[in-house]
Amino acid sequence: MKKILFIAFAAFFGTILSSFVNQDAAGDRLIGVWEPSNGRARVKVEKIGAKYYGKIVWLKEAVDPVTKQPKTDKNNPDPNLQNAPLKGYRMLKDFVYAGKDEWTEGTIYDPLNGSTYSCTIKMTDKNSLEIRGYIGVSALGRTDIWKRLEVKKK
Amino acid sequence: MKLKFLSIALAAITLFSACNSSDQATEITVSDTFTLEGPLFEGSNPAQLIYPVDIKTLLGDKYHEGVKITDATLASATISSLDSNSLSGITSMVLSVASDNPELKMLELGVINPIKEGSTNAALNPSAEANAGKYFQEKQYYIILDVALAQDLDDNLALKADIKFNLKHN
Repeated sequence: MKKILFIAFAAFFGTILSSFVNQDAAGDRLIGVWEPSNGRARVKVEKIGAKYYGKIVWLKEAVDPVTKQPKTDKNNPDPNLQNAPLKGYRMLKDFVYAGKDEWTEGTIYDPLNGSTYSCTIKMTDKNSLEIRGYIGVSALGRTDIWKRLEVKKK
Repeated sequence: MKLKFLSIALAAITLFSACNSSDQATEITVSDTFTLEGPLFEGSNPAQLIYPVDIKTLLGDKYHEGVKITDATLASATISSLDSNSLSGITSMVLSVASDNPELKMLELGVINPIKEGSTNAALNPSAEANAGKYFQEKQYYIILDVALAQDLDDNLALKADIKFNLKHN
């Protein structure tokens, strides 16, 4: 009887553990390098703790035409952070995998105007994302399609 | 009418002062090492520390039951190299905090860009607005140092960090 109980417990906890692992693996499909539809930037999604973040790793126009220096986050509302390099800046922040190919709770930053918007990400296939930025309610927003890029591995 | 307005204003100021007078300030230093494991790419590479929040140790004599840290601003952050005498090849650094708590959004605390060639240490410019107070109400959070490299690096990179926070608490 004890043996049967033990096996039942082990199976129960095994199922719970594997669902957590599967959830993690499903969320990690977001990790990679992605390109917005305008092709002006590439964004690398990484995981920090339990959340996902995307930073700019490539810019089509990397140099500021006025200063002739690499672009900085000059529109950041915080004046002390305006000289942070735009290449390397995390424009996607704090995404949590919500299941069903969706990442929620995150924000997207538009370096062109220094504004941060609420954002959801929907993976429509393994190489395509619907990125929806909005203010307040999701209905009032804009969706962009991002495509996955294959990158060299070291 | 004017007198009523003045009375209300005076009461509000008194209340505000009373609230403020109960606030205490404490400066804490986080000294640790960020290790970036090679190979590292040209551009931004992240290193992170898991920082456990132990309010008793942080506040020392000022700790009391029910104490709550409400504000935490970066006073200074100095990064220096452990492997060599200079930060050669590092072009910029950004310091941030992040948490697993969905309620807490990542905050950039400070930045230095560019880093002078040949510098042995780098003092980050603290954010004017970022308040990490809620991070100190968590059990732990992540401190992230993004290090931008001028070119690929096959080796590991170890950087010593001395990060000072100004805390406000009741």
